[in-house]
Amino acid sequence: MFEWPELDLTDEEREFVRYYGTREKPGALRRTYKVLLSNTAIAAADIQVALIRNFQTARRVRVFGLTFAGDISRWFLDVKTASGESLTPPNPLAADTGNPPGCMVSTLAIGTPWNALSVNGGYPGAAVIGHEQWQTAPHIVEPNIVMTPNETLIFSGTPIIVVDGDAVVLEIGIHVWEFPDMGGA
Amino acid sequence: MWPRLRLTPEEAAYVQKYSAQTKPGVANKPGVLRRMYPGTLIIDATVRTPTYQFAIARRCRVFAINFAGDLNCFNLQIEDSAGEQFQMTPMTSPHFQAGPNDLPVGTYGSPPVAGPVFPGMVLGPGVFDPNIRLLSNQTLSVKGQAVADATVIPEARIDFTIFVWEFPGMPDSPARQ
Repeated sequence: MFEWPELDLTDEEREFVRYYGTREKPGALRRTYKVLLSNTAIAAADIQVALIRNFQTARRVRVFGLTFAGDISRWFLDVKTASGESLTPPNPLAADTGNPPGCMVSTLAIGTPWNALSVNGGYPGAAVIGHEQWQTAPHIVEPNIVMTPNETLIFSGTPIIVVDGDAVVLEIGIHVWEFPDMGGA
Repeated sequence: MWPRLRLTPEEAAYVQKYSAQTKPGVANKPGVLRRMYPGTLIIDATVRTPTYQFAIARRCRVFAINFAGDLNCFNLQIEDSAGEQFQMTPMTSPHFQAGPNDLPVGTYGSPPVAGPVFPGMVLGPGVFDPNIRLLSNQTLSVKGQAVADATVIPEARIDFTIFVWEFPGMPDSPARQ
């Protein structure tokens, strides 16, 4: 079952906002933003480079979920705050496999155990009826990622290029709660 | 589907779910950190039972693990450094994450097949509840094992992500700065 979390306001947030707006205090806002990682605009699409997109809002927000669409089995995704704090850090004990930084998106997007580096391979270029890529649940971030106004979240994706010239795309939906009138927002 | 973080009384003495601004006269506690650690297991002609070691400096709770790749080629077992085995024997990934136990005929233990024969889909993350609690620098091993010999499965690979909650500032854990 596709399940979304409910908003629980902290005591600090309750001083500024309500679940729904009242005459005295504004309500929390539920918004979805998109970042798009695509190597199609790169002249030499066969070069495996990290593509970086930033997410920033003027309000204080909490990122509570991520959804993915596109070539999910063909990306490693590294997520960092602008201060350099990595949400997908490397394990200090892990042997060097030569992988790009971050986690394979297939392991973050629930429902899609395809992996372009495995022998089974990634999802085929054309849809195969009966074997569609399913996203059976959103990726829920709990506790949420708290971002102060104008703080930046950096999505750095590295595509897995199987054949020279491959064009691969990853669209990331960023689901947030926004808290107007709070902390400089 | 995804578990919610509930702090034990012991944890709540050191951390809170979200770090709050310091108020006069009130000691500020750090917030719990949610992190995702990538891992890989590769089977080849020489390595038939690869092991991935995971350890971090902070006390943490492993609440989920998710796999992608040649799922039908691997048996998996998770074990901590004290020898505690979380699966009594190595077993395939559908026992970890809700997913396809209806394998196409002949794929279990068969060579990895290029194309969309496998892996179907995963219905939910592989959740551990209660979570696997790791002390500071305690090691967790994810052990892989080929389900057939090298003539049948010459090579295979899975990637996975270990989802953890970290508790900065708890005893033996470095504080978050």
